[in-house]
Amino acid sequence: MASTLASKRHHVEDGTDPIEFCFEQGWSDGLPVVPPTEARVRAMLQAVRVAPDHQVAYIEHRAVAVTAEKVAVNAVMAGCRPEYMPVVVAAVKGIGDPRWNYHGPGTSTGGAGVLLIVNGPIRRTLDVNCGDNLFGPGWRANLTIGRALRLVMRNVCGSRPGTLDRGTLGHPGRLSYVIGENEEESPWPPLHVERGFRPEQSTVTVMAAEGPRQFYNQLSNTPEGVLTTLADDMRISGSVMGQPNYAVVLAGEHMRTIAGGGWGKKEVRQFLWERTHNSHAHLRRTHRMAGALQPGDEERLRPLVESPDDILVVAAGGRAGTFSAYIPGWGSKRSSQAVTVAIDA
Amino acid sequence: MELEARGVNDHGPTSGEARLAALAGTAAAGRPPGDTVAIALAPEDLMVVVAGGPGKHSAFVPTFGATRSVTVRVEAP
Repeated sequence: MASTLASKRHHVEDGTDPIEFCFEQGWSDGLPVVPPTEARVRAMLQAVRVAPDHQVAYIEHRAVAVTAEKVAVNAVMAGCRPEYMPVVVAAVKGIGDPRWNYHGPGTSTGGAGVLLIVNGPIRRTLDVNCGDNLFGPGWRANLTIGRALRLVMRNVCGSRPGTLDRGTLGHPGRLSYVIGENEEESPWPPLHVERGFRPEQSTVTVMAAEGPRQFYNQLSNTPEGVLTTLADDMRISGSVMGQPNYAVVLAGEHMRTIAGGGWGKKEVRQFLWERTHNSHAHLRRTHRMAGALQPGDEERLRPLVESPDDILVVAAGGRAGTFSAYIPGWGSKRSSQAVTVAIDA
Repeated sequence: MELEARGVNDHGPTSGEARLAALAGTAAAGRPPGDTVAIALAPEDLMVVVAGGPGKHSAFVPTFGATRSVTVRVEAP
């Protein structure tokens, strides 16, 4: 295995803070980074047992080959432990997949984040949070794996705010946006199994995503009740084009209510898909669609996503609380689609 | 600009009842009392902030239930 590191070496003078040096080089997302020393980068590479020049992904729109060495450098800077590296590598493969279509979600004013949904045994091995405070801080794996991916986008692919990253607003998930599915407490098949992987495999699903939108229903003790509230919230978030995907994250109490009614993920998807169509009349009245009302606009409907299967249902979040969330995908189905990648542990 | 002149900390009537009465005269005008639920007690509770880069995108951020926003002066050293 070739082991020569190709990255440019920087010598930090005595009296200079290496962390401040990294800021000055423009390598940071705004938070302090761990200085990527050779020993740290090699430990990261050792965790995936690949040569530094191994090509992890090729970003066609940027004509950039992302090597394992560059992924390792950014994983170090993000604060990853070496054992997180297989997940970071899989995530980079995901955003390099033509279906994810890097240029759109990486560049658009829409400011998409990359939602990473981790499935399989590696969640437990790495302590990826699947429960309380799911989208919040507190777990090193969740925070640093997503940060490493964003640093790769910034430092390797050139997606820097104001230049090749034109996000108007962005959202906090662009720092890190990693969740695990609570497979142990879920009554349903996990996402990766639904997407064709074996239960014992570990995977990461990458989805170009807006911020999470929490909804609340403490009244209902039926699947129809909880999901009617969710559908009402989801429907008005739809764009004219139709999103490529939505992620629906059902937390403990809602998960138990829905499963208690005998519903599986398939029924959840179908129910939501059928109740989230917008009429052309609504889209015109709310100035989402151009032009005056036309005859038949009340009956002419646009679904939120093309098919019920485009709604990714994930069981995750705290056990307590009548809250769940949905996450609109960025763009349209032609622009970007969620991709699931096996993690080579 | 009206909002700027009023200031974001001037919430108008402070008691819940007074503010609901104010609401009845504005957002719910023309509808029977109790027919609607507003997303905030008064228009002044919507804080308008101009920020972000170029592009046809904006955002809204709902607050959590039992809390009020607080503005604090930053003391320069």
